[in-house]
Amino acid sequence: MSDSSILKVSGVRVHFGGLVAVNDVSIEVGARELRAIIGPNGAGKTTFFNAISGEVPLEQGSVQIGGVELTKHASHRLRRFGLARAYQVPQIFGGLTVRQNLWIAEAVESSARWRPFVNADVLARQSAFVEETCESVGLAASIDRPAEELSHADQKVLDIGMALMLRPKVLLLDEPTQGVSPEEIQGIHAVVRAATKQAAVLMIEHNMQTVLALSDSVTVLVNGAVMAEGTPSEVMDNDDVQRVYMGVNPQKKTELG
Amino acid sequence: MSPISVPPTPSATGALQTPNSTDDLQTRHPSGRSGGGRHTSRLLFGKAAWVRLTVVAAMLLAGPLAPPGVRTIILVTLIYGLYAMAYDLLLGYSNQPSLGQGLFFGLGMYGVALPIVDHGVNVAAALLAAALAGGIAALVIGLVAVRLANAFHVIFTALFAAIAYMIANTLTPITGGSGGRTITLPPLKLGPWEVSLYGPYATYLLVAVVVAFVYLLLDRLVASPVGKIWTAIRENPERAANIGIHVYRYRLAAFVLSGLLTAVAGGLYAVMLRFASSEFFSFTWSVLPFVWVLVGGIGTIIGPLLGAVIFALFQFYVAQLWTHYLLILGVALLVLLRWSPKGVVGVWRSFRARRSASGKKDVR
Repeated sequence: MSDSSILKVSGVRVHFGGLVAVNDVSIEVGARELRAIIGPNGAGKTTFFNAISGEVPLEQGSVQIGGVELTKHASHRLRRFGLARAYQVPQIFGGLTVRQNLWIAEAVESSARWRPFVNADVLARQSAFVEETCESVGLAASIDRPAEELSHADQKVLDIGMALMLRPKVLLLDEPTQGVSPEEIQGIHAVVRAATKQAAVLMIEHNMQTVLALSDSVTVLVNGAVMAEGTPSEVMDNDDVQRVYMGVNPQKKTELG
Repeated sequence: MSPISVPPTPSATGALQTPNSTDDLQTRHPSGRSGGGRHTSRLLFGKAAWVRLTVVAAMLLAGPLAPPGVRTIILVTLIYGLYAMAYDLLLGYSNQPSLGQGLFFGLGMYGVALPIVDHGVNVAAALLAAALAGGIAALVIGLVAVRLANAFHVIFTALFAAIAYMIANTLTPITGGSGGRTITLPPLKLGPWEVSLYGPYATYLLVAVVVAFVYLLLDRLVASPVGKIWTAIRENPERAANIGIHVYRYRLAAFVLSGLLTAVAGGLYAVMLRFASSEFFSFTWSVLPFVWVLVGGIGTIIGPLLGAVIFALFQFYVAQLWTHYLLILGVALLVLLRWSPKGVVGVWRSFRARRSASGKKDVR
C-alpha cells in the first residue's frame, strides 16, 4: 500500500505537559481507502486527528498528503493540500442556513469574497456544487433552514458536507455515528461510503458495526500508540485487541464525547 | 420541519463524485460578472428595499421637519447610530468585544478639530483625515488585538483607550485637555458652491448624508460574502479556520473598518459640537456603543441604529423625569436580553415569525 498511499503520517508525537497523548504513531492511507481508527476512550484518537489537521502542535513527526509536508502550514491553509475534516461534535455555523454553511466553504477560495456589494445569498443560490453536496448528504429538504434547527444526525452530515465542499483528497471523520439513532445510521453509512469515492477516509469510530460495514482496514490505538493494524477481521482476531476490549467493555459505544 | 434526516438515495450518492472541474472553487455565474454588477449599483434596492428606503428617508427628513431643539437630539442620535453600527462589525459580526472604541471616537474628534483649528483645512478634508487617523490607529492596535481571545481582547483594547485618554489629558497644548478646543467651522465647499455649516440645516444634512451612506454601505457589506465570512467567524472561529478562512485577516479587516467609521462618527460629533476635548477618549465612550448594540440587536445593522434611538430617548427625555435614568435603562436591558438575546430586533423578528407561523415558512 505504501506506493499508492496518499496520506503518510510518520512518527507523530503530541504531549500535553507530562502526558504523552500520541506517541510515535505512523499510518499510511491509500487513495480510495477507508481506514478506521478504533481504541478505548482516552487512547489519543481525536488528538491524533487534531495533530494531522494542525489544531494541536506536534512535538515531532511528519504529516504528508501526496508527498507535501503539512506540518509547517497554518491550519487555515491545509485545505489547499487536500485535507478536510468533520468533528465528533458537529462544528457548524449555527446561525447560518445549510446552504450558507456549505457555500462559505466554497466562497473562501473563490473571487466572490472580493465583491463587497454582491448579496451572498444570490451567489449561494447560483452554486450548483452546493446543491449537489447538499443532496448527496441528504439535506436537500432542509437547504434553507438555519443549521442550528437541524437534528443532531443532520448536523453531523452537514459537518461532513462542509468538509466535502473542500474537495478533499483526505477526509478525517471523527465518530460519524456518535449520538446518531439506529434508524439514522444507514444514512450516515451511505454518506461515508459516497465520500470514499472521492477521497481517502480516516475514520475514528466506536460503533463496530459501522467499522465492519465500511472500513477496508483498521488501526487500533491504545494509550497513544498503535497496538494492531490490518483488515477488520485480522484486527478482531488479534489477541491483544481482544484483551483490551474485553477488559474495558465489550460494547464500545459511548453516547457522549 | 422533519426531525428525522432523509437518508441519501443511491442515485443521490452518485452525484457526490463530481468531476474536478477547473473552476473548482469559482461560484457559477450564468451571466458572468455582469450578474454581480447589477447588484453593485443598487445600494437602495433589493431584498427588504422598503426598510432601507424608510430608514434613509427618516434620517434625511426627520431633522428638517423637527423643531430646532429636537433636531439637535436627532443629530446626536444619528452620530450615536453611526458609532453603534461601526461597533457591531466587531461585537456582532466578527466577535471582537472591544472596550476601547472611545480611542477611535476621540481620535476622530481631534482628527477633525486639529486640522481645522491649526491648519484651516476644510471640513470634508478634515473628516477624511479623521477617518484615516482612525483606520491607521485601528490597524496598528488591531495587529495585536485581533489575535487575542475574548477577555484579553477586552483588556487590551480598554488599556489602549485608557492610555490614549491619559495622553490626551496630558498634552494640553495640543488637545486642550478636558477643557478642549473650540472649532470655528469654515464653509463647506461643494464644487462651485460654498455652504456655511452655521445655517439651520447644513450640519444636520452633512451628518445625515454621511450616516445614511454608511448605513447603506454596511447593510450591503454584511450581506455580502465578506459579511457571511465574518458571521461564520462569529459562529465558530475554529471551524472557520478549518475550512480555510484566514480568521485574523478577516477580523483585522473588521477592526480597521470599525475604527475608521468610529473616527468618522467622532469627527461628525466634533463638527456638531464645534468642540473637541480629551473627555471623549474616556471609558464612558467605549462602553456606550456596547449598550446601543445590545439594546438594538447584536449581529444586525438596523439594530444598532434602533439601540441608539432608544438610548437617546432615555438620555434626553427619561432623564428629565428622573436623574437616575440609567438605572431604568440597565434593568430594562437585562429584562430585554433575558427574553430576546437579539434585543429589539429579536423581539420584532419573533413577533413576525409568530404571525407568519401559520402561513408559509419564512427562514431568515
